[in-house]
Amino acid sequence: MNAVAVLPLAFGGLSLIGLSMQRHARDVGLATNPRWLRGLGWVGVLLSLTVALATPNWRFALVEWIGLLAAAAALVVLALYCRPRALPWLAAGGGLLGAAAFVLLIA
Amino acid sequence: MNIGPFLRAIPLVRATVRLLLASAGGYALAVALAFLLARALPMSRAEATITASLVAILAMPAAAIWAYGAPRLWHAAAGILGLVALCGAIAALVGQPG
Amino acid sequence: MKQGFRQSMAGLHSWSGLILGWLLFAIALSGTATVFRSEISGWMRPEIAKSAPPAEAIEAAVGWLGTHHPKAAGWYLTAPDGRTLTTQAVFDDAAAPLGYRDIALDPVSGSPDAARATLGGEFLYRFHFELQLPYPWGRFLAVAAAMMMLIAIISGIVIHKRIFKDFFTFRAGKGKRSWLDAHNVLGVLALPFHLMITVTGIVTLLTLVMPWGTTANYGDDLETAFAEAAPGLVSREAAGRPVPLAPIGPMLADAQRRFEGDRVGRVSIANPGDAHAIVTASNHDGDQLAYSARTATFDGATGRLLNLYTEARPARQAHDVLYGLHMGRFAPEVSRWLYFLCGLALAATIATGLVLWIESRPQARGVGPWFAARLNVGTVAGFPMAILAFFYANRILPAPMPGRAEAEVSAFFWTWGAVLLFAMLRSPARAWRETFAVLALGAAMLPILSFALTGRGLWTALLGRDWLFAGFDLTLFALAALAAGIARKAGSRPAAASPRRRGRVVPA
Repeated sequence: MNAVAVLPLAFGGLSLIGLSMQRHARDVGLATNPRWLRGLGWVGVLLSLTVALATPNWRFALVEWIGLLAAAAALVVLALYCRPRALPWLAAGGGLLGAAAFVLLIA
Repeated sequence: MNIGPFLRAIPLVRATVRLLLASAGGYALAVALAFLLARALPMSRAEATITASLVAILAMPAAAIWAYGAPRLWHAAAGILGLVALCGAIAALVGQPG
Repeated sequence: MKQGFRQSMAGLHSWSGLILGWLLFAIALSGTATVFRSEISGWMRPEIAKSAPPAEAIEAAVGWLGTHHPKAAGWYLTAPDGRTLTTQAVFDDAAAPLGYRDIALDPVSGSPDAARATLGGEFLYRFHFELQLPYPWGRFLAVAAAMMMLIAIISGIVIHKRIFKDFFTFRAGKGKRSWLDAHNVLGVLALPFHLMITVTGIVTLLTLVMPWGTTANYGDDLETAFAEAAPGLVSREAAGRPVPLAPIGPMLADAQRRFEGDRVGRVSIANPGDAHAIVTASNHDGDQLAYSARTATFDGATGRLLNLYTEARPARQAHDVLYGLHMGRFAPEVSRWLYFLCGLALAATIATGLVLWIESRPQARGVGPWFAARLNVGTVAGFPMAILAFFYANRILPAPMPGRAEAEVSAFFWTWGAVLLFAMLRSPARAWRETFAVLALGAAMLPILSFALTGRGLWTALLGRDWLFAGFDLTLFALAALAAGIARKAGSRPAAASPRRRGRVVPA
């Protein structure tokens, strides 16, 4: 059930990677694209992988993570299409939600 | 091997040759590769067989890409048919394990 | 004649995608539905609401088969589990239209008569790789289509110049540009899945498409080849002496114990009722990625253990994992839905690709493009409509009707044919809108009709925590909304696009 933590984390990470790209930074309303976000975004993606694999059955978890990553990416595209200006907030929300869910899962 | 000028005059023939190279040539390459790997891989007979089959299916898309992506038609033909002959020859030399 | 590599790959991509594209769409969509094969089967047999423990269900099934189909060469049974209430039985039967039967048996009585006769999810599963054609032609066609798909995916990656820059890019209301964006986004985001499902799909038909490794090492000696490939299985000719099958319950209990906690999933009985009967129990596919990891084989006449086998050879394991990845039987709930969604994305990638082929050739005249444009509507709308008709027939046809299961399948194909015909007679732009509107309406009405005819509706399902019926109805509503969305968008020309959205797009 740690998909609850993996999906928001992956969404947060991929959103940041998106925001670091020129086109999407403009979609969001930024004048220049903050390139440093890319590294942070990758950290989020790797974090989602780490959380995903923190289960006894890592093989099942790996398959699931690949699917969740695709789902998270689809959500980023959807957000950029419907509510581009909300993406930074959604990304932050995703990160917080993922972290909170992870803490709850461990506890 | 210089049938190039003749073929260049006939686009339909060229297209057919490419299609045949990609499909029949691709399958022939997969078969030859399956024969070669099944016999040459340093594994038990059963393991070599399944490994060979799994790897060989990837020869089909590879051949199709080469058949259409090669800069000249004769490159495509030489590459695919040459590999078929090479793999087939080595497989025949190794022979069926006892 | 010399052209760039990328340009020749573009040609390869559009033609390899087009030739079998319609077939690929049908294969992708039926495969996507097959993710929920168990659930579809359960929904299509609303009479059955109670299951039994696997061993008891298998015992009941063996009892019924022994009375009604004792002459079969073998019975292949799948035990009920948390997802399936019934026992699935496949066995050869010369009297059946396809030469074999694939039926669901009641877990308590072992009889198929407890529920309406239907193929259930098995129909979509079989269609996915046999295409309702005689063996082996359907499978050959399916594997050829998979190979085309693989070539299309690889060449598609080559021609996508901005695969990372356009990763999240979808620009709406720009005609062909939007179709291309949709095609790219759907294809790229789930690319690992698309590649995996295509390659592993070929692997499931490996012995059919690539038997030559076996020929290389074994020549004509297929018996040795089979014995070395699957040492866990014992095969022997029927003795011709009738000996009743020993009680199967103790054998399954023994197998269960030897599987060290894994469940018993599939049970096959070769030469039933013969002195040389063999009972093989495999562990449940849901317990590991690899398909058929463990088997316990028993002498059918005495119940004595003949062989216990756990696959541990690396190459064979790799093959079994690839096979298992395609079947997706291992997938727990979240993964199962991701398989379903990625499958939908694959079908949508194919559909948008087919539309793009037309959109890229606005000047094209002649029979080919005319036909292709209509075939697009007839398949992309027609195939889901056919699945829907299959479900409708399941609810509407009377339970005691003879040939009922076959009639459901006929409803499927007649509907597909009707939509194809309709698409031929109508301009594509209108046909897209109309067929998808009907599709949306049909999907939204089905739960209501089902409630009227079975008394099991969404509300009662939610209250009774009947997740199968609740999930089925909710999925239908979601798909109806999707179809309605497509009906609104499809067929609308770029000029009709909303200017608000267009204004937001940064010029490329």
